[in-house]
Amino acid sequence: MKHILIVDDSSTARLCIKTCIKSAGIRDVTFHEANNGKEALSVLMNKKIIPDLIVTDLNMPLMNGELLLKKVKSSPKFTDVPVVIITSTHNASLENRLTECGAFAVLNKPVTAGSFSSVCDHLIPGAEPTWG
Amino acid sequence: MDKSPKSIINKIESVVTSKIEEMMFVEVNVARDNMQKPKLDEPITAVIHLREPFEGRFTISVGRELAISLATSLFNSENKKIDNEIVDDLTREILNILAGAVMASLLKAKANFKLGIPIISRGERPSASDSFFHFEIDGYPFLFETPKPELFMREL
Repeated sequence: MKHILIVDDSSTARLCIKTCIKSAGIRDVTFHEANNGKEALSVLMNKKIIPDLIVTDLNMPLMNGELLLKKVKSSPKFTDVPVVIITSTHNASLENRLTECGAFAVLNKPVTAGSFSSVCDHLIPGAEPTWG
Repeated sequence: MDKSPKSIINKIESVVTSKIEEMMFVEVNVARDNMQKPKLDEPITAVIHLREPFEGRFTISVGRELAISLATSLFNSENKKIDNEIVDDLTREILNILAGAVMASLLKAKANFKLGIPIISRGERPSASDSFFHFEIDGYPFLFETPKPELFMREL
């Protein structure tokens, strides 16, 4: 069973991300959700899980995706968890900074099943996408 | 890319129809009478500001009935109660995605752009600018407004 934490202040965006991940071929997965970085840290602590993947929006209230990324990467327990950042802003220097902070990938909105293909390969080699 | 206003308008129409179809699994049509602003029943309008590479704004205005229909369809599998919060969230997210997709498709590859956070302005209609687009889903109209094509042309 894979555990994926999705962090976005939009319930619509969280649903779309889940749909994309399923379409990218990841099966047998439990999704955990949080509205912002702060809530995501609470989920990590309270549920006592080490997720296989964290997918987070960049711009969120209370704690944004960049700070969440830094917190996760500085924690010995969670440092190896791949973090994918999703953003509607295109900015090469921002993307470089997030990558240097340890982001596994920076994806631009709108995300698609295809966007998750490389992430999918990392999680489950040989996953069979259903997006064509 | 062709820099004419017509090609930019065609590109925007193509992006809006394709992205909503991908996201919502519904067919979106450019309204035949595209230059007439339709009357929207209890419009829900979302606004997002463009900060870079030029100042502008995108808006979407959807009638309440269409917004509820889309939310019901999308959240069907989640067993969620469709309330104002869900409808507003959906409207904001559709606009967020459309604005990002339009910018990415019209600017040069890898060009930087910065969008603000989408907000709901209940009851507001698009401004009187001449860069609005009229679409339909199942016969229900919605409006999408962008910065003027001339602003994009300068960046191409």
